[in-house]
Amino acid sequence: MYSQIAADDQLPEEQLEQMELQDRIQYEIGRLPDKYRSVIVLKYIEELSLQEISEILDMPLGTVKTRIHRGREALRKQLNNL
Amino acid sequence: MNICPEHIIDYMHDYLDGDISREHEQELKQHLHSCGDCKQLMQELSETIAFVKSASHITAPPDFEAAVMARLPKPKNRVGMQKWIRRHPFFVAAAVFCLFMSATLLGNFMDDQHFSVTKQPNLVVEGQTVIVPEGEVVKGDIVVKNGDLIVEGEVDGNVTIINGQYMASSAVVSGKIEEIDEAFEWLWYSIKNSVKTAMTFEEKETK
Repeated sequence: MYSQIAADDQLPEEQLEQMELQDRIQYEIGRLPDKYRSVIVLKYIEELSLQEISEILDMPLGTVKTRIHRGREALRKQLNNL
Repeated sequence: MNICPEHIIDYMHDYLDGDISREHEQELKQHLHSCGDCKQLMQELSETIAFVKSASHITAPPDFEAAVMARLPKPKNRVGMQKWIRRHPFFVAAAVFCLFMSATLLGNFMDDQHFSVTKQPNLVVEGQTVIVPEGEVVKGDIVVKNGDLIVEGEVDGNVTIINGQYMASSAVVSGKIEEIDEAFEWLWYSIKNSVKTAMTFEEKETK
C-alpha cells in the first residue's frame, strides 16, 4: 500500500540533473584564477559581505570589489563560451 | 556595446554588489532600456550570479582539518618554552635566584670537604680528631669541619662540629654545642651565620 503513495522526493533524473549542475558549477568556479575564485566563493557561496571579505583576506575594500567585478566577468565569459 | 560609456558597466557591477547610489541606478535603468547589448550583458551577469548561487554549500571533506593539522610541521619545543618564560617572568626570576643561591651554597659545602679547625693555642690535633686535653681550658669558640672533637678539658665558648662527631665524657662547655651533618642543615647554618655576621658587623659599626 505504502509503496504506491507518491513520494515527495526528487525524481532520479532530477537528482542527476542537480548533481550535474553542481559539478558544473564547481568546475567553472575551479577554472577561475585563484584571486577571483576566493572572492567569488566568499561572496556568493559563503554569502559574506564585501566588508567581511576584505577583513578575511586582509585586502582593501576597493581591491575586493575590483576582483569580484573581474571574477564575475570572467565567469560570464566562461559560461558564454559553452 | 562599444559606444556604451565605460561607467555603465561599473554601475552594473555596483548594482550587483548592492551598493549603487540612486542617481546611478536611474541612469543605469534608462540606459538598459535604450541599449539591447547592455541589457543582455546585465542579464548574463545576473544569470552568472544565480548560477553560482545555486551551488550547494561546498564543504571540505570531513577529515580535511585533521589531515591538514597532521601534515603541519610540529612547533618547536623551544618556542613553547619561550612562551612559558615570557608568560611567567616571576617564576623564572625566582627559579634563577634559587638556582644560583643553592649552587653557591652547595658549592661551598662541597669545597669544604677538607678537615679544618679553629686555631686555639692548647688544642691537640691527631689526624682528623681534635682533642681538648684534660686539665686545659680553651677560651673562645671551636669550629671543627670534617673531623671529630673530643673534649676532656673545658671549653669556654661555643662548639660547632660540621660532618663529624662530638665526643665528651666529663666535658665542661660553657657555650652551645652544635652538630651539623646534612646538606640542608649546612645550608641553614651558613645562612644563619651570614646573617649573624652581618648583624654583628652592624653592631660594631654603631658602636
